[in-house]
Amino acid sequence: MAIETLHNLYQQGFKERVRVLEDAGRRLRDPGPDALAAIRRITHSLYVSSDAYDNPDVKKIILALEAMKDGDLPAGFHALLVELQALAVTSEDVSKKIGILLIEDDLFLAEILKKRLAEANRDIYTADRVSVAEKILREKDIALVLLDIVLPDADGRDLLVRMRERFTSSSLPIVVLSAKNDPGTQTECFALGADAYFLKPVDPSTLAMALASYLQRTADYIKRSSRDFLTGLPNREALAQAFARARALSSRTKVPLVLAIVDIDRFKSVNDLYGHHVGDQVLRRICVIISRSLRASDFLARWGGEEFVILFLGADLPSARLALDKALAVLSAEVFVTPNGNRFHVTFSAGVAQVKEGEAIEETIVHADRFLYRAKALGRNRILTETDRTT
Amino acid sequence: MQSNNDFTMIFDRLNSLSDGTTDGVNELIFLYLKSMSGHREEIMKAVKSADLKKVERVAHTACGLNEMIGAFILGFLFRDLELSASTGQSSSVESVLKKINGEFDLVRGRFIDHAESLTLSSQNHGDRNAP
Repeated sequence: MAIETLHNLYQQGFKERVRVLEDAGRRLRDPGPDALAAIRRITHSLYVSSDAYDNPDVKKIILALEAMKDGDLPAGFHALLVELQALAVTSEDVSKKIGILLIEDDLFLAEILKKRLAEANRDIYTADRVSVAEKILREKDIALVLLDIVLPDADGRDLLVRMRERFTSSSLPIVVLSAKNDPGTQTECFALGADAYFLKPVDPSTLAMALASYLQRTADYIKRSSRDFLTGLPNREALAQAFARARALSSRTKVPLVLAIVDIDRFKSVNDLYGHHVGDQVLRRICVIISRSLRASDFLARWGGEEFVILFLGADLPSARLALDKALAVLSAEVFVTPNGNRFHVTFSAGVAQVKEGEAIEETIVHADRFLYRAKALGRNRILTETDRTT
Repeated sequence: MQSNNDFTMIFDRLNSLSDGTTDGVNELIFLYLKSMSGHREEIMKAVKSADLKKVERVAHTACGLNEMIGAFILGFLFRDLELSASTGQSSSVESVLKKINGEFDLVRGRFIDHAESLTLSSQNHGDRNAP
């Protein structure tokens, strides 16, 4: 699952929570402590995740709801709920769908679940037997599996074992749906790697909320494993994936792709003189400064230590250089102040290179590194590109 | 025999499982009857060929389906069938099947009546999609 799908994975949790909020809102017609407390809890859970939803309006509405007194909630709740419902729909990104595989041999159950789970940003694939499910798992990008274990051509538990064996599905959320209510079967499914076991008859709305929560957890997992802990930027692994996608797009659409490697000048002395906590603050601040000079389509990642890599898709060398010049100017003017009141300035050097057709990321980085090395040798605080080499 | 109260509950359940419109409920009734017809046919074939493993599997699926819509008597009978098939009791399988057929005829009749009355009622109100 690519990092670009994170928004939609979080969106699943947001939309279902808004639905649960709607249900709690219905109970407000006969206001009691239960309905109010439920609204407060769900609202708070939305607040906790609101940064992940990447929509400041969500946070604004939630804060307004949280600030309401119990007596005002029944009257004020519905207007804010309508705003949340609208946001839940408009913030869906239908260009990057989340694949859900439903393996269920009963036509009726499959249809009911398919209808309840359908969303504009989801692709629901159904399989009535293991062989069909295996084919879908091979061909489609699946984010979650719903598995009935009693199937016509094989036992679903065997499929569960195979899914856990394969690298591509080893960490997929797998939810078992079964009418088998003996503890032995349930324990076995968990032992084989099931994440949840829903006993039939299942309530479709409860299941829908559970799935949305699993998808949101998946997003958290992807985010953690693909982000640098200190700066919050994509890490090397995420960069490698982004590079592969950008290079493929560049080759298909013939738009240029440029890579820059940025290294903070004399960063070791910042750590040595003022301590690592100040060094960490400098790193975080530089990320913000560089990000602000980039377009939304540019990709900034932490390469390691005090080095960052930027991918400029659809930009030529002069445009990439211009963006970095802007960032360097802002950074040079910035005054860093330590807790002891020491003031200092920081600059960076960068090497910029055009990505060549079929070139691996390591090759482009070696290429850009040559310009970075030269920028350092020429006195730091500058950006060098291929064109500079000839002048 | 299923009582009227049970059917009220079943129809409420169908209503909540669908989008609440006449077309939505009727679509579920059609899907249920189609699904049940397939399961019963498969069970009959399996019984004829003495494939009790298959009887057990399909009875398990049919049990889940009936419990889903709140048809608990049929659900219970299919669970009984699943158990009989799993323990290899052929005579018991046939006797449970007879009970299932009788109960299903009753359920099917009530479902068809319900679908017709919903359609008639929505036509009288001039709204095909009225709940």
